[in-house]
This record gives sequence, C-alpha cells and structure tokens, in this order.
Amino acid sequence: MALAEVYTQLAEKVKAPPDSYIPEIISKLATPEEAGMMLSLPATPKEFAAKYKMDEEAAKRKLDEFVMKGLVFRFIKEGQLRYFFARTLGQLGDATHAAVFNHRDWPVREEVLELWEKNSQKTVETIRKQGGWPEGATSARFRVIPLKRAVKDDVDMLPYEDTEAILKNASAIAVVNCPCRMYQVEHGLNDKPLLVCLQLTEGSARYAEEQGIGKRLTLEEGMEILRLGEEAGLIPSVFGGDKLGFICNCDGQGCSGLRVGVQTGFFNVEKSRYQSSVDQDLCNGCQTCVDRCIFGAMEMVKVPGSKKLKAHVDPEKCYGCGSCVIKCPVEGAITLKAVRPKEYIPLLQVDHLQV
Amino acid sequence: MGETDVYRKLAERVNFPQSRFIRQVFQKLVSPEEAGMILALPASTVELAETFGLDEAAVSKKLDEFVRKGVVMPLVKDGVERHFCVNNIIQVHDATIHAALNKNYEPAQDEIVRLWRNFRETEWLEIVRLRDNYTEAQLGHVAPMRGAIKDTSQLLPYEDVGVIMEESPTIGVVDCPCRWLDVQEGNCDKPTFVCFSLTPNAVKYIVDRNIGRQISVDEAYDILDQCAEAGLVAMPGGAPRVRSLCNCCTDCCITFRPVMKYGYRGPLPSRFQSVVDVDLCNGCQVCVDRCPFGAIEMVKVADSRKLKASVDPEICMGCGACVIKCPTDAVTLKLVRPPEYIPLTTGTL
Repeated sequence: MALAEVYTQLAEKVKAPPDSYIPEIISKLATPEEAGMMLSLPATPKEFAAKYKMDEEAAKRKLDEFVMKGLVFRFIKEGQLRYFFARTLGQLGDATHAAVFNHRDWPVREEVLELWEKNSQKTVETIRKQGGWPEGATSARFRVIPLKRAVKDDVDMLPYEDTEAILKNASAIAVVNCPCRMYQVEHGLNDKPLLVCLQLTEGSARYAEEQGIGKRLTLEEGMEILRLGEEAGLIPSVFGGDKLGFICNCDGQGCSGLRVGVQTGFFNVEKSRYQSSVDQDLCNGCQTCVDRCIFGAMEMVKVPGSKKLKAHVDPEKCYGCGSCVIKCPVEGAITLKAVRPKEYIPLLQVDHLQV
Repeated sequence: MGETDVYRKLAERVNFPQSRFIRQVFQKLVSPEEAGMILALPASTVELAETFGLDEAAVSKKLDEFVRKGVVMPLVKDGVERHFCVNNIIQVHDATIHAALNKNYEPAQDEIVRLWRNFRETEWLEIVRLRDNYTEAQLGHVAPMRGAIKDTSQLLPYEDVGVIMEESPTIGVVDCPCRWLDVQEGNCDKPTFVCFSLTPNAVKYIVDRNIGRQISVDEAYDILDQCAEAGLVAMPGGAPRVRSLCNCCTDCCITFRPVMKYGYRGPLPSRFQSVVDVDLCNGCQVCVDRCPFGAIEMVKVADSRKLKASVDPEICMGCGACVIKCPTDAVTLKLVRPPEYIPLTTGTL
C-alpha cells in the first residue's frame, strides 16, 4: 500500500534522500491525519487549536504526544511556547530512536529501530554507488577529537578538542543512549556500550530529562563515560568548531556516519589535529592497533632485521583519534602528535540540537 | 715426514686432507712430534710406549693431554683402554671447541675458536656442497620439541624427546659447541647447556674430561623444557636407539646454518606439521618470531582487520616452536607422515 503523500512531505522537511526509509518510519509513529498536522508546524498550542478546531488543552496534549514520539520539539520564543517538526535528519533520527527505545510497550518499537538500521545500510549502498559523499553533506562538519589519554603532555591542546575541557566548559552534561547502534546492540550484533552519548547544552540536558531518555551527569561522571568509550575503542567526535553541543562516542560498525567510511572507504568526518606515528623498533607486531583502528590506517609492513611485520601508519587514513595509542602494550611504540595548526579547526557557532 | 705432512695426515684422519683450517687446528694444538704419536693410534698405552721407546707413565700423561685438547678419544674395549685419533669432522669440531670452552689449552683457545668460525663460512660450505652433489646422506629428522604435542600417544618412542630420555641407559649433557661459537661473540642468546649424549662411552668421556655432567631424567626434562621455551629444534641422532639429542638453533648449528643461510640440503621434517586455526589466531606474530625456518607468514583473511598466521607446509619442519608459545592455542602440530617415514639408522652423520 502506497504511503500517504504527507509522510513524503515531512521527510522532505528534514532533507531526507527521496529513496530513504524516512516516510515509512514517520508512518509508524503518526497517522496520515497527524502527519498533516505536523506539516502545519511551527505553531503555538493556541494557533494549533484554532486550526484543528479543538480546545487549547487538547491541542497541547496532541503536540506533547508528537514530542514524546520524537517527531516534534518545543521551543520558547519571546516568552511563547511553540512546537516545530524536526529540522534535520539527525534530529529526527536521534529523537525517534530515543523515543521508541525508551518505550518497550510501543508495538512499533522494533519496526522503527529496524527501519532506521535499514536506512543506515541504504546510505552505505548509496555512497558506494555514488563513489563518495555529495558536496556539502551536513555530516562533513563532524570532527574527530583525540582521546585525552593518547595525547601526552600537549600544553597546546585547544579547549574545544580536549574532552576534559569540553566537559568543564559545558553548560550542562547529560548522557543518552547512542541511537546509531541501538538496533545492533539489541540484536547482539554490536558489543559496544550504548549509554555514551554526551549532551552538553542545558537545552539538550533538559530534553533528555523531560523525555526520560537520559540523565544529567557530574563532571566526574562525564569523564567516566569518556574513559568507558576509550576502553571500548570508541571514537569521540563532535559537530562544529569551538561551540559544541555534544560529544559522540562512535564505533565503526554502528555509527550511521562512520560505518559508511568503514564499509566504503569514503569517510565524511574531519580529522583531528593529531596523527599517530609508530616507533618500529619498539613495536612488537601484536596488531592490537590494527584491530583498534576503525579507519584502516594501520598496516603491517616488512622491516629490515625483524621476522615480525611491524605497524605502519598511513597518514592519509589516520584521523588522529588515538585509539591505537591507548591499547598499545609497548609504552611509546605509538604516539599521537599534533600535525595541524590551530586554525585547522574553524570557529563556528553551531545550533545543532539547541531545542 | 715433514711438518706439513703430519698435519695433512691428521686432517686425512677426519676425511679432509685438503682442509687448510683443520690442519691449522691440529697445528695449534700439537707439535710435529706429538702429531707423529697421534698418527700411530689406535693403540693402547703399552703399545704406544713400546713404539716410541718411552716409559708408560710419560705416554699416559701425553695421551691425557691429547684427550683434554680434543684431538684424541679414549675407548675401553674388552677391558683394555685404547686411544684413537678423532675420526670425523663433527668429532674434531665438537671436541676441540669443548676443550677451548673448558680452557684446556692456554693460550691457543681463541685461535681455535676463530679457526672454526672461519671454517664454518668457507671450507665447510664447500664440504656441504660436495656432500649435496655426490651423496644423498641422511642428515636426520627433526622431532617435536617437548610440550608441542599434547597427545603424546601419537609419538613414536624415538621421536618423543621425553621417552628418549626415559629409555636412555645414561644421560650426559655438554654445551652445544656450535652455539658456543656465537654466544661467545654475542650473536646468540639461547641456552647452550643442551647437547645430550646418550651412550655410556660418550657420558664417561664427558665426565672424565669434565666438559659436562651426567644427569637424571628429571634434570633432562628441565633442560628439554628450557629448549622448548627457547625454541630450539630437537634433533635425535639414530632410531630406534637414539644415541644423541641435539637442540639446535638454525643460525648457529653447523648442520642447519648452511641450509638457512645458503639454501643447502638439510635435515628432514618431523612426521608432524603446524596448522593454524585462523579463528583462534589473534595475530600476535609470536609464531612468526619463533619459527626457526621462516615457515609462517601473516596473511589477509576475510572478516579480520588483523593479519593472521599461515603455515607454508613446504617449509614447516614440524618442530613445534610455534606451538609452545602461541597464547591462544591456535597453532597445533598435526600428524602428516607414517611411522616408516623415519628410517632406522645408527644415527652417525
């Protein structure tokens, strides 16, 4: 049965690719009538009530129901409570994932998670077919930041690439489940920790609390999450320049962005200012780094005077996350060094997820 | 007989009259007169005293000195002690190096060691080349090292290093002469006190000359464990009666060195072969490092970022060095050859 046109129209609002699963995902969470209502947003409850001929209380209840499903968001402008439909695909994805994941009793829960997983797989296929990411893909502003423990005594580390400083400077810290690997973790396909997505604005922390999808953390608890990610080989990444709304802790298999790179070789993240290098005299050839590096930057090569192959970093492929450094069993065999100037990171104000 | 002639004749006793190095070894160790006396062997002390018109005590003292220097061997037969001149290349090599190691002759020992080191890289290779061209002489078989085979019921008694020790009438150990040359130079850090002699005569010789010790089966197990730890290749001499057990590294050993360094024919593999379970292999390359023969490569496999170990069956000698230290038990020795594969021989090279 063909889907109602309204779903496609909503999908277009978040700039979903025409062949994506987004209309179908929305259809699981809203009737065609409700979808039509969402198309009319943004609106205040009063405006919404007038349009759909209901009293203001009922209007607010309906809108809050959309919010609970992760489709619609509240914001206050000039003292007025207003509701709007998701502005970006990322926002829609994160919020609907969190909503269904959190409601084990919703019959559509499994279907929605599966559709998102299929959607991520489809993106991989699309990028593979296209031979790369289209110009100006939004996720191109995702940037890897190094694992703090991998960067030894670098006094010049910038506050917006230093995970500890980022958390210290955040207006709030909250943690939510990583949407990207929810489906895989639930189906035993991914063993990485889930509760590692750090939200760093008051708005997003409040949203997590109101939706019941996460919890506020102290600085120390936030640091503990980063350590957990570090241990599990997760890559901290952020969106934007010096103003940051969150720290993702991504894996190469689940992350809807990184998995494309891992599977096709076309990554759409920016490198950190750092790069790994191997001291081949110290390297014991154990390949732990090869296993840790999700970017495929570590190769084993023949070196004179050694029967074992030794690790070698391809600088083109190294994103400077330091995951290899953390688990190298030989102190000093891999080091992470700054190779790009401070100006490499653009200073951008980012309003992503400011809701 | 001129001076050169006596040393040439001594070299002839070990089958290499042309050898400049062997002649020089004898020259460093004995005077022309002493050489003449040695050439009169085999003989008993009485016979020798008669031939040279000397008193028995003086001859006996002289013979002891020759034995200490490693150029003459004592042999008790029918209750009578007789002496004979060293009669093959390995014997003179091992005995004179043991003498040097034991500091039995100052100050020539450094010279002797230097001569043997040079011999190994020059004349010995020529000898090996001729041997390869003109004979199909057996150079022995590798045996799996201690601990490499979990189910020892697969092993024949003469390829099971533990059983070889248990069944030996006596066990003697000396330093490996081959390796000692390299350890002296700082070129090898493997244990040296690992060379087993398993006949009563040999053990008596070792003890009398004070170049090694007679040991118990338990002590032998300990040494075999050290060998396995160090990845030394077990080489039994003879089957079914094993008369010696070398534990070789392939860079020092006079037999393996020409094989590894220059590609000459060498000993044959054991009846076993290493196989890798790719799913269990963690890619640590310990086996690559341990394999004395370069038989293990790291290869790409599906579904793994790490390269995994892969054994080349053409190169694998079935020694088990890789098995001993594999941290995930991913490498095992598999029986691939029948019992008849090991010929029953006396075990002399």
